Amino acid sequence: MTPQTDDADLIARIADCDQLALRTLVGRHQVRLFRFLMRLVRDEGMAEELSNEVFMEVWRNAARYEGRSQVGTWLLSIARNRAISRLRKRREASWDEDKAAELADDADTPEVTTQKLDKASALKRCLDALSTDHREIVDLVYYQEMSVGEVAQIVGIPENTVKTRLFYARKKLSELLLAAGIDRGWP
Amino acid sequence: MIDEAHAPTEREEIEMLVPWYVTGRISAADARRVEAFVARNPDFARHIAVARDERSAAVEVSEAQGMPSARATDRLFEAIRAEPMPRSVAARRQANGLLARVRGFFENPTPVTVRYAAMAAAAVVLVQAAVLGSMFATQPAGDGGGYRTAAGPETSAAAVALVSFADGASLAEITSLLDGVGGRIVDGPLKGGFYKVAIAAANGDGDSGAARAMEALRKKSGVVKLVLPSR
Repeated sequence: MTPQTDDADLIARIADCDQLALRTLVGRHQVRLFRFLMRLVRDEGMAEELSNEVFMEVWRNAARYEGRSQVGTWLLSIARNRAISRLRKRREASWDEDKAAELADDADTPEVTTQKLDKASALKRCLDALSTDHREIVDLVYYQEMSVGEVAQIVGIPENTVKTRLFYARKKLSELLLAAGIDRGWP
Repeated sequence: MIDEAHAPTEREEIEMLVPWYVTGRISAADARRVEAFVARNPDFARHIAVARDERSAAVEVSEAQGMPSARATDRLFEAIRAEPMPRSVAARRQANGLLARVRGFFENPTPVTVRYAAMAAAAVVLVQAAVLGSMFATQPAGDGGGYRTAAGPETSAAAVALVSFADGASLAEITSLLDGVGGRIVDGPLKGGFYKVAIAAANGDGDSGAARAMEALRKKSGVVKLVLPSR
């Protein structure tokens, strides 16, 4: 039995109000979901709340799951919609710009920054400074290990846009690293 | 800039595939494209190494987000317990529960369930008998009505039989049958679920007429269970 079948079976049991099945599903997906939400909203309390909302929605609507996508993809999709809705209220976009500017201002000079940070920690710091859209796609591809098609389903954009969005996210990462004094030789 | 006006170069196309190449979530055809490009452009291996570093850092960043608290999970299940069960699920469970109990009784009867079943069956017989008795007792009589007893019109009966009716027999079937043989219930229900049925003399010619009437009752096995001569 594949994990996909297992998850689909759990959803069928959840549709019959089986709380044990929901507990199993929560145990299987909660951490990844929480981390994905954290990357989007950057607030532990809100990420927990949103994660609970996702599972509550699954509890209420499990009967509507048609198996067109994997359960994990479906969960991330619900999580994303809820996070975006919450972020709109919080005007997260402007915060991202401030954060990016803050990062550039932090560096006294590229040389000093290089001394302060090794490459790996600089990379992590720069990943954190990406915009919400870019953080999201990086997390979906590298951490959640979603395929192009799955990311397209979750984010609701064409597959080609998925590829170009990640391409530009990576370019932006190189720019931020360069500003921090690290040239990784691409692009 | 990659857009409709500026189609990506082959190198850019391969660069766009690299993240999925390093996670392994790439089609076999695209993986071969990346490998073929690297074979033709050995310097591109450097770009794949850059993507691998990116991935490691991205995983570390995500893992550093920690875990949801146990309290959050408790809150989730508290909220779920407070949710009303959808009507469709509640109705299905109720139906399944009843079916399971019936199936369980037949598949694995216990002395207790058998005793309850016997009591229930006895109650049904009593109710049926009471209904039949009261209906016949209160049925208006052709001769001015009233309760017909063996002490009244029965005196003109050629014979009296003890009859028990089949469990599934309807009132209409019983009435029709009794009318056909000139019989009427004059007493009952008696012990064993019997009714005393008087066969009118006018419909028979003495003992042989009564015997034919009782034989006619016996033949209606769907309506009558047993016919015994009473006198």
